[in-house]
Amino acid sequence: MGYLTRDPIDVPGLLAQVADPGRGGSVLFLGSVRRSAEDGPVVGIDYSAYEEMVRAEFDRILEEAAARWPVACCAARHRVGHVPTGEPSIAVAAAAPHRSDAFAACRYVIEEAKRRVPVWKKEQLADGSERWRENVETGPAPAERPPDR
Amino acid sequence: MHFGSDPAAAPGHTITVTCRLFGRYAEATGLEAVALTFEGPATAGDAVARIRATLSDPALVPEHPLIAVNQEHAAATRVLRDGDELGLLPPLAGG
Repeated sequence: MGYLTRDPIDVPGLLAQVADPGRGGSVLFLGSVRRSAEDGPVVGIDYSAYEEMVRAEFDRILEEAAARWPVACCAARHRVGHVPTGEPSIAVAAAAPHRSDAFAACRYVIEEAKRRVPVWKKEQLADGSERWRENVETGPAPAERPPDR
Repeated sequence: MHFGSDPAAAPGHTITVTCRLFGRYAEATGLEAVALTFEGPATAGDAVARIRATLSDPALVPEHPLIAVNQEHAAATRVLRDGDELGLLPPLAGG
């Protein structure tokens, strides 16, 4: 399954991937490149990935979500390459017969993706400089879990 | 214990693994993939130590980085097998 794209994320296509007449509730999470006071004048981010592992890890996360919420259907995309400020870099769609399962499954997928999917970002600033950044709001690093989980 | 059919555990058995570096580790070291050969059993942590020992500045890769073996997160104690792909992962930053 193609979880990575170098093009802008096809959000309607992602929603269509989880749509079904039996699933009345759909949830979409979009994570976009932001500009804020603490981040400084970020004009874009270059995303790189361990592409083979991204596929494997997203497969595992979606399988886990399907096991936890069997009535829900989830899909995910992550953009790689240059992403300008304001454009989505990640999207997760979830649909279920009722909203509670759709919200819960979507939340699970995005939180696990942030903790486990091997993607890296290098911020590009307005003055032409660059800097590597890492996620700080996520949970324990995967390596802190037992092997062969 | 029988080691005959287990290349990861056989003393004296040579194993070769590929170590891939990503993100800031690849940029800092100039390395993207390195083949490592071990005489006898070796762990992912042994591979990290081997890589660090070859660097002009070992601090370019931390002593305990995130590790993946065959595209799955793993601990440094993971015993390697011939043909394994080891990934040295900088702190994740997806999303």
